[in-house]
Amino acid sequence: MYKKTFVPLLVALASVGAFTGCSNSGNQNNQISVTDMVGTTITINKNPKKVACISRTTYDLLVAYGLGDKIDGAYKGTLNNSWVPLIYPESKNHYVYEYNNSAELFLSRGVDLVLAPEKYMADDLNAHGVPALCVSLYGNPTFDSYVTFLSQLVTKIWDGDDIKTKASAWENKVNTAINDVKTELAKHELSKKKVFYVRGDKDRGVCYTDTKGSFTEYAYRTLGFDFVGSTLSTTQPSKEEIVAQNPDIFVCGGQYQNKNINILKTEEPYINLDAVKNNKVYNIPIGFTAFEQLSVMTPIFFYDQANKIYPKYFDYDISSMVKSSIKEYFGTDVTNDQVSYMLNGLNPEGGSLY
Amino acid sequence: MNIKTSNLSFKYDKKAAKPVLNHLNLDIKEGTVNVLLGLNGCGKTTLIKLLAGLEKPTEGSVIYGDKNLKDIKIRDRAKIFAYVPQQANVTNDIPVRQYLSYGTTNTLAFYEHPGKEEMEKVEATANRLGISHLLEKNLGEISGGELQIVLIACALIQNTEILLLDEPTSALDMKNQNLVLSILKSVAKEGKTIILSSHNPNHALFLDSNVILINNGVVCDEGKAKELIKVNKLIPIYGEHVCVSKDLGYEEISFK
Amino acid sequence: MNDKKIKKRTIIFLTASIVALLIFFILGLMLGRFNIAIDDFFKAIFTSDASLDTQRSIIVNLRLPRTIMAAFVGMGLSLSGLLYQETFRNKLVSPDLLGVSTGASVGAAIAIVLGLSSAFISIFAFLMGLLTVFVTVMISKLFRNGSSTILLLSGIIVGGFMSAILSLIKYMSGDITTLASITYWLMGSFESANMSRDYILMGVVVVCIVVLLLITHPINLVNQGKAEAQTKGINYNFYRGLIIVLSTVLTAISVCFCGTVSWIGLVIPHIVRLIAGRDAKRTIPLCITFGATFMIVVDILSRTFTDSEIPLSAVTGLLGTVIFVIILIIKRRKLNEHKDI
Repeated sequence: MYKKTFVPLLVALASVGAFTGCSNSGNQNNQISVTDMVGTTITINKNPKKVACISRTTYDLLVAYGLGDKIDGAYKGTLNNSWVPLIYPESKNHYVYEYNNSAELFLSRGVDLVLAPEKYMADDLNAHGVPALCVSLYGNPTFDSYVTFLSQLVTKIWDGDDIKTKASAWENKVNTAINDVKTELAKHELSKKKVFYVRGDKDRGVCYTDTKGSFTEYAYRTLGFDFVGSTLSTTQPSKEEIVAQNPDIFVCGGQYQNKNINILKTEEPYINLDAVKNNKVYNIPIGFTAFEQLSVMTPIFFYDQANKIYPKYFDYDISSMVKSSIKEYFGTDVTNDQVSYMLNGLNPEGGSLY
Repeated sequence: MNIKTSNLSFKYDKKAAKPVLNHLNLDIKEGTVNVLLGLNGCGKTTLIKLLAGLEKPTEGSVIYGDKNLKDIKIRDRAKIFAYVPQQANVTNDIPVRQYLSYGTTNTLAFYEHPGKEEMEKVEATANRLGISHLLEKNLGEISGGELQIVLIACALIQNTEILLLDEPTSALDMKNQNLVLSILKSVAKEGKTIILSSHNPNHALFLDSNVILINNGVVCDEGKAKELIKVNKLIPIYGEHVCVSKDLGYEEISFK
Repeated sequence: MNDKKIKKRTIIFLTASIVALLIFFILGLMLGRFNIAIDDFFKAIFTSDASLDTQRSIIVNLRLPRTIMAAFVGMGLSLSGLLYQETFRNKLVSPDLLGVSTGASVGAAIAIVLGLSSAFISIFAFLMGLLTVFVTVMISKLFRNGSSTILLLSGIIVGGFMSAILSLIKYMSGDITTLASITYWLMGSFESANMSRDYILMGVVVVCIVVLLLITHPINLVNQGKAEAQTKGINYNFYRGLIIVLSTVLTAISVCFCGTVSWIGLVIPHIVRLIAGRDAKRTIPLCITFGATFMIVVDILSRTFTDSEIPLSAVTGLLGTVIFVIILIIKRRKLNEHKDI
């Protein structure tokens, strides 16, 4: 009796296999071989329609390039930001993913591409039949050659002149911003100084930074600094280590930035540090994403930090840049008040983000 | 001080059908030596534990003088009677001197330690029982016979009217059995009340004591050893192979 | 061994360990990631030289609170290890026996997942630690059998249940950074030390120590088991209960401020017993000084050599195993000597 049902089943399976095999060979033009940030090469279907943006740097770029309707969902840390629904109301339709998700979840949602933040995740998903590319937050050994990597990857995966135009426009802007700042700084005799970046995307206080290989390290090196995190073996140095490093400036980003700035300015042992005494504690704006994260706001991030750190040499109009960029990439008008909240690391109502 | 039990019953498990002790009545007079005899598992050890307040009666009561045991504070109990446990329950890695000093606890406040006076008591008792040479050794390093004498010494240091001993001779060879029983005999002469459990009827004869025969959780007979320890009384308990031999010129219980 | 010899040896070791404690306490203030020259150290403490503000701040605000915390946590954990080992007459028992550490870990993990501040993490940990032991004792009551074995058994049952809950919380925390926070907390750290926490810790530990020193004789008798203790005039159930409560509070208060720290509660009592035998009036004072000194050394090691702090359990584990092996070698030699006799 089992044999009777088994045989037709086998035949059915075999024919499905043959059919899909045929369709694969028939649609080779729709497939593309791509290499991700950690060097893994996989073959995926072109123009995926349901992308899961687990890696934090991917969501805003895809939305800004007009691929918002191709996104299935994103990491909850990305979506749980009160600026996101304001700037991009369609984000409400996007599924909220955890950091670690099972292959079955992606399969059941019909996801056809996962942009994963870590190699082990991408490898695991690929092994289970879910196409996945690793878009790491860290370059190897540094981020220098990866600034436009994602942008170029997007133009390979999705067809369309519009996307290519947007991508090259953004890449130009980034390069221009970096050049502008570098050229101006080269004119002045500047001694190398130390910057300590306080991460602030988690409530971990001041003792939380980023290491060598991060985009922030690249950015502050470009701005003429020694990045304290690149000499550390960990993202969580001890208080004494920070004091022993005695950085010349502190930059605080993320949703907890104002809390951390307050700690630096009021708590022992930080209040005795030169940077704090000399009032060299700066914040990094936060909007659709934290500005210090590689995003469409990256050019403005460079201008903003240059303004704050070198007020003698730079005076860019950050507010209007932010306003026009948001209009350009997300099609949303933000008020002047809202822009100033972003620049001060606050939420759309002017309250704290945590 | 007299010791009484009235209708004393005990079950280890409340749902058990058969109690270990079943409405047991005892009346022990001050200054007497009493040997509890009976088969293994007849309830001798349980009775000693109930008398020492280590188990609570399921029914009935234990009475010391005119007071119910459960109404006597633990600290005061230790001034009335001393209990000598079976050897197996003793920790073995403290020195004999330290162990013996625990016998003075009933004279100390909770925050006090045995001092000079107490240690003199310890040494005097050790001298009397001939175990002074063992004082610095650990309990685990001395022989079974020596350990039994140490346990009795500790009870004597408590300086109580009544001594309760649970099978004091069970782990000992002939020589040490004799030593222990001789010590008990001399202690009895001081007018102490002694209750001990034993599996050997000859010990009762040696001590010239009262005998309490226990069978199936009740007292089946009691009286002076010389009168009670007769073949016709023992056969129902120990079986028909029991006999009395007079080969050595005195009565001894043996088996055919 | 001769009682007078042991007494003499106890006094020698007690004096030596008090001196060592003082020396390491000062070293704890001098050493760290931030280099402070010796003369700067004394200047920073005894003068108000403004150029040494940073040094002073590090000594007073970072190193002093955590060195104090290390000392008192060391005392608390080694004492409660000793008490548990003696009360349950089992030398391989550690303070976690009745589930206090696993319970505290669950409390802390819940607080971390809820995103609460570190003060709440401590409160949750403390309460869950006590609650777990309470549940353990209640379960053992179900057996209507007051024996220590039943208590041990229900400790294992409840401990196992709590570990399962902990795994579940870890699994549900999802977010990799929350998971990392839980794991990091579980490994122990004095990073959150400050003076107000120290005052609470010191208060609790000092009260427990005073009570313990008053009842050292009853503790000795409780070690002998119920039959012995009770017939010698000690209310066994009361004192055993009191000892369990005190050692549980000591563990819970230590664990709630610095996370779980393994080994110390196992190793220090063993060393102390080797020196002073099994008399609580000697072992308790020695446990206090030895435990405090050991923990200060661990803290110095954990924060001086690397740019972030090495978790305490990693250091105590490494140091503890080495010491334990040395103890075993010494003990083996002793055992062989006995055999020769």
